[in-house]
Amino acid sequence: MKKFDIIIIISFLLISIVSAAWFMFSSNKKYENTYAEIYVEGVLYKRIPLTENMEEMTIPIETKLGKNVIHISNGKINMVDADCHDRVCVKSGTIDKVGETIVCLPHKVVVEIKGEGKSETDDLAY
Amino acid sequence: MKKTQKMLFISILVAQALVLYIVETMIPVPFITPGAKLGLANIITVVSLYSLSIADTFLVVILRIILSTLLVGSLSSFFFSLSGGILSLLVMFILKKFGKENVSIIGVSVMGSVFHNIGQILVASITVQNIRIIAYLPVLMIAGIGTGIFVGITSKFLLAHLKKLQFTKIN
Repeated sequence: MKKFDIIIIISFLLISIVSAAWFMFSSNKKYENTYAEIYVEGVLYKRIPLTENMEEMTIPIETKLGKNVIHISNGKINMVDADCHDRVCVKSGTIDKVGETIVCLPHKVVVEIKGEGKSETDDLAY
Repeated sequence: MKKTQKMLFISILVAQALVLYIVETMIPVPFITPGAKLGLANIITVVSLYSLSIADTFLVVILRIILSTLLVGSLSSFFFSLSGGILSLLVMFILKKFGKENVSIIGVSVMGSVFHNIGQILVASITVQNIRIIAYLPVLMIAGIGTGIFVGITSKFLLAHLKKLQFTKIN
């Protein structure tokens, strides 16, 4: 290990910890309304309001690239099925916080949670 | 190194990289973040960088990516490998050239692993047209530091053995 090695490793560690903390902080805010937005090839496909007592729903998405099945219940979203070869999106688990995403790269499908309205942390600041 | 020796050496490196790449796809991903990988094929990129010219290293990387796509990949994985592979090679080359005595093979390979991830995330966010997926980068970067150190140490051992071949010049 030489001088630059240490500098490289420490600076990458710092950058990733700081940015991870920033992403966590920005997703921990509470919003009045949250939405699940499904994008296919960069275009908004469906926008679903998320509430705690919402009905369970299963949304199949079929494009020329392939098929994905998204399941939503109690404000939690997960990809239950996909016919791509690596199924990274299925393995990436459940998301429920604003800013979190599930991505299916081969099918160009992105599920993202977005928040709207005043956040509770802002209320505390005033 | 004679022309034939060089050609053979490059072919052997490409073959080794391919084997590592295919073995890697059989290992279950140990991280929660999608897309995290060990990056074993990077060992060969680092070894080529230290034993061949930059043009020949580039050839090794390109050949490995094309052949691995034909064997186990798909068109989308081709572009991810290409962007990650070329970006990490360029960054490693620059670091090695300007770092000289201050940087060892471990620093070079950590830089390569992290930039491999950065390149792939960039292409991924362009493909799905969503910048939000950069949020995966911090975790991928930490994983990259770990795999980079591993790759660096492994390459060091491999180079020590390659030195015994009379025609190889380790720089």
